[in-house]
Amino acid sequence: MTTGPQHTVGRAMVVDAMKGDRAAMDALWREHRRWIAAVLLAHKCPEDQVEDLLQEVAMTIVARINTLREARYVRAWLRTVAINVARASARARRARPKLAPLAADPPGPDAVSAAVDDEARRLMKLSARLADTYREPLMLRAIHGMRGRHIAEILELSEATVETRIARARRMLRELATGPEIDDDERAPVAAARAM
Amino acid sequence: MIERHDDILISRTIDGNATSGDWDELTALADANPAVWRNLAMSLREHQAFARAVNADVTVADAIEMPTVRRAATTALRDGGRHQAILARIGGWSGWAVAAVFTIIWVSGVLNLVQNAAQPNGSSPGHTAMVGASAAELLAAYLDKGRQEDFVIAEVPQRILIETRPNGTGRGYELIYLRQILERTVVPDLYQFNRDETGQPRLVRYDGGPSM
Repeated sequence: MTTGPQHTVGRAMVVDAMKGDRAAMDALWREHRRWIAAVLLAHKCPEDQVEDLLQEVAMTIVARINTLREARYVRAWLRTVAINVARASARARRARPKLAPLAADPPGPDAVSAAVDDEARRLMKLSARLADTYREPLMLRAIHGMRGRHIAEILELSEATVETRIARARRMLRELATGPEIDDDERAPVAAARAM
Repeated sequence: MIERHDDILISRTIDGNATSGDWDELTALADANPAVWRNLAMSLREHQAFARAVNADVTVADAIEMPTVRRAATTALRDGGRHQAILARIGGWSGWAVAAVFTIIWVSGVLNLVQNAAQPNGSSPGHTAMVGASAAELLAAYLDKGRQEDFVIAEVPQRILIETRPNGTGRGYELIYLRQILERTVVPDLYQFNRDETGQPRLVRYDGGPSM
């Protein structure tokens, strides 16, 4: 593993990271880690496990980045890594009935959650009722600085399709927000049924 | 799903991508149906609130850095993914103080261990067999015995990498890592550190049901 000069962004950085350049991998991770966290959340990872799963994603990137075919597919590849980690974690949770009650604690007060107002938290909770197809682009769009082109690369969709899904997701979220309050147990996968 | 053009126009407006043509179209739609303005206002408000929640949640990523050694990552990958919930759970214990009774049990257990170890020639049946055993064998014996006695649940397979550095011999790397053993015990009471109305720390009996 080599250590190269300070990297910023761009395809050259990805190529260097694919060759095992330490600085390039660090730069790659720092550039993408926030939206990777959003992908984990969009795929229903419990909030209190995102930190652990991000570490697992980071380890996978270090171990497997040499399997990335081309630098231009890096965003889609990172998303695939994140989704695989999220799914493996979900499977592990399901296959561990004896330990399940340990993970069922109510999350403690946390500085980040406390800093977000009730309206924001309520919308986040409602968004869990959207199908992943809609929730994921909506969450990615909400991240500061995330552009439509980047979201399209991550999801391997056209920009027009991403725009359409985000517009629909916003309408569905608005309908959920203005609709009657229902308990989590009663919630129906209305948004899922509408997914393309 | 039926496509609604006003949704697209509103969405573009929220994202700052609306062209002058989009604005003209949106204005025309709103002139015909003033509810469009209301939808725009509500959508903008919801987007801002939702973005606050998302950006707050993803800041956790800023604290995560790349692991430092490829070999360590490969090892962790092989073992990882099975005990994330346990590890998260272990962190949750850090704020708890276990009752004095438990402390006494633990201290007496340690004392017994020390006393047994201090006895010349050993008195336990397995002692002779363990003479000359490696540290790994002794630990394995401890885990087996603990499982038999139902206080060891498992060793958490994922080891937490603390530090890596080139090995002093010039070949390979030295890894400093944390290994953890999941154990169980039963105590009559649990107490939590809390603060009273004057801000002074105090112990409060935990009364939260069977699971913390």
